Amino acid sequence: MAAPCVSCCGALCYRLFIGSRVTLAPRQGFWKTAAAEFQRGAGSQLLKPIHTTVVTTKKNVPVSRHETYTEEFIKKQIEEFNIGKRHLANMMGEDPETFTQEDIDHPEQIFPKQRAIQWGEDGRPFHFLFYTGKQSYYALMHEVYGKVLQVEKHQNQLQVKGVLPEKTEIRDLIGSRWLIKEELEEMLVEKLSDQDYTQFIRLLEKLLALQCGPAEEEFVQRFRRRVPTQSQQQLREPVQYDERGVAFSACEGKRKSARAEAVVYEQGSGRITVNGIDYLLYFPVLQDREQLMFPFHFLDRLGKHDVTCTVSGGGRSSQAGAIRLAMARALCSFVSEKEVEWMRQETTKLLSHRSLEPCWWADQPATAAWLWSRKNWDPNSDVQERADWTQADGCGGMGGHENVCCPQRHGVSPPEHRGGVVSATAPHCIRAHVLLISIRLSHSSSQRVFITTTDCPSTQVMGCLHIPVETDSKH
Amino acid sequence: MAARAAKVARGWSASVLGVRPAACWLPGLTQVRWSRYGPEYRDPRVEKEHYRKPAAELTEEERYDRELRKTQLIKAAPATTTGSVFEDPVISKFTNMMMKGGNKVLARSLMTQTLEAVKRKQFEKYQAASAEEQATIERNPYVIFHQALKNCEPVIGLVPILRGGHFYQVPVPLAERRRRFLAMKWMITECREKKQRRTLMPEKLSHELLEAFRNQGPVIRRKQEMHKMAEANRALAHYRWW
Repeated sequence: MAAPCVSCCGALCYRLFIGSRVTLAPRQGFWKTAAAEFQRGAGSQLLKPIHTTVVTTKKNVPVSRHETYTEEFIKKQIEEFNIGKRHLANMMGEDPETFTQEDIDHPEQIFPKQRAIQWGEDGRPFHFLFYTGKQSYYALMHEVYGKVLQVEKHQNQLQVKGVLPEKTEIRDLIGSRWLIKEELEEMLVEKLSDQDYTQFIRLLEKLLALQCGPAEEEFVQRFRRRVPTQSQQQLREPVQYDERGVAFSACEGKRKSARAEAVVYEQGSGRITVNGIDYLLYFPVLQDREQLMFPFHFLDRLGKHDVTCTVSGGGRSSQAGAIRLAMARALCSFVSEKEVEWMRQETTKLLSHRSLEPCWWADQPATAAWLWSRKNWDPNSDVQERADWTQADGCGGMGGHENVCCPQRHGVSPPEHRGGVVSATAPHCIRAHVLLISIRLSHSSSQRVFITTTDCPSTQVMGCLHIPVETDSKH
Repeated sequence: MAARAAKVARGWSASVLGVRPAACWLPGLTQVRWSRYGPEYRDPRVEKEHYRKPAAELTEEERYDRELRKTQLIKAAPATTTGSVFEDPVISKFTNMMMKGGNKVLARSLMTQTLEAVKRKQFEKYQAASAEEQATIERNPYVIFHQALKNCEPVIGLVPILRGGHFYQVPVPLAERRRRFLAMKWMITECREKKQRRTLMPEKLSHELLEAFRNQGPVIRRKQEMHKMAEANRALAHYRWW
């Protein structure tokens, strides 16, 4: 079903090896490079020669691309191939007698699967669905649909006989998930579109919905992956004992920018001390105290534990949330597995914390808005920094890197600049689609390039680019 | 069995296929409301009685659902949920809507004062009433609150629809959450804008709640006006296409 994939490393090794052994040999008046010779001789489906240099000693002799080889030549190549294989085994430290292709092939994690050439020497493709463009995918769909039809036919037959199909028990659909699109692409070594993937999954679900036999089940299981139970990922802190022999458990928690560490004692009367202060005084707001009581109330252990915690950072509410998380984690060590799962399902305050999205937009280049004012505009001014163009919100210096000087009014060309480049940030109205229409060589030390935009309704010259050119190099 | 397997498989495929809102990647559009959680995260369920139920009492659906949730990632509970018996989602929502500038402390204290005021007024009435009337007087402020808001909910609303260059007010059935929102919004607006200079919010709000509980008062009148306008515009009802 999958296209014949040759791990490129094995081929590479062979190629490198054999290539070094086969020397340039004259044959029928043509000189050929080692690479080409090797590839013909190997006889397997390797890449077509792409760097073939043909040098003729005779003139006016046509170049023939498709050579026929004699039997002895092919046999000789096979012998040399086998000898090369043994040499390779020696180099790799393996036993030459039992050296096979599998030993050479490196694991696929190092070298990704690649497609071998899908057609033979005569140009005919091997797979019957080659011309669909995605042969593996369509072959797979064809196979699955075949199975669906088969199962339906079988069920119809059973119904005709009057035998009802037995209801199979529910498969473990919870602990597994379908392959994702990337995994399927990797399996088939083919690019797929989202619609292809959706269709494939739908077809598999249709197959599952029918009462299919064990063979089909196994086939479908190939496209499912295990999903781990989340509660197993929760680490349980070991219970520690202090000098008086009282069991306690210490854990950390965080929420936004608050960091808390809670020590929960197994025996207690429900006292909570935060940073040395009683929680009633530290959290005057009822909502925060409710948060502190939440884990205990959920597990029905309200007056049974003593807690000492330290907290820093954040605000009132985030400190309460951080302590809540820390306490919940600490409680996991005193509590059964089932209750841990309940806590997780109920809140995941065990596994994660809530935090703000970091301010990613602060690093984006600011495209400054430029404002032109007629009041400050001086058409005869010679200065590089023009007063008529100002940046709107003062976040200058970060925007685009094109060296475009301030745009001109139509018909007025700027005075000649002697050298130097006006490196102002680009006005936001000129973005993409800048066309260089002409490069005019001038006698001045700078070249002038006129720029126009495609979105401009008229072909108004929007600006000109000054490129400093050194007088020595004349381009 | 097969149907459920199919439903589950389809449910899984939806999550696997990553059904995302269409506006995710439109160029030039930035998502304004987002969440740190991906789409695979489920909402938490806070009531502890749900988990304490022994396995024998669960229906098949519930059992299956529990198994499913074991493999799913779940969001953390927000700071306002506590799972305590005193927590009321309607009250929390109302408190949030009353809140100004993030001052939850003030909003919550106003809410508790309102409920206290409602209770006191009802108690005074109860003390002054005769035996038969005492049976009819409701003293639980939560019951009064819920009933009042339910009485204020409009059934039908008006939506401006553009047709031929003009906006027409078309009567439209409202969703449950829209109705609740409108009831709360009208109540809060009424109490903020139409009160005497020195009356405080709890006093005014408790008064309005009691009136709404008896199907009287300005909020109920506003709801009835909305209904009347919808009735008047019923000829335009066919402008609605959903």
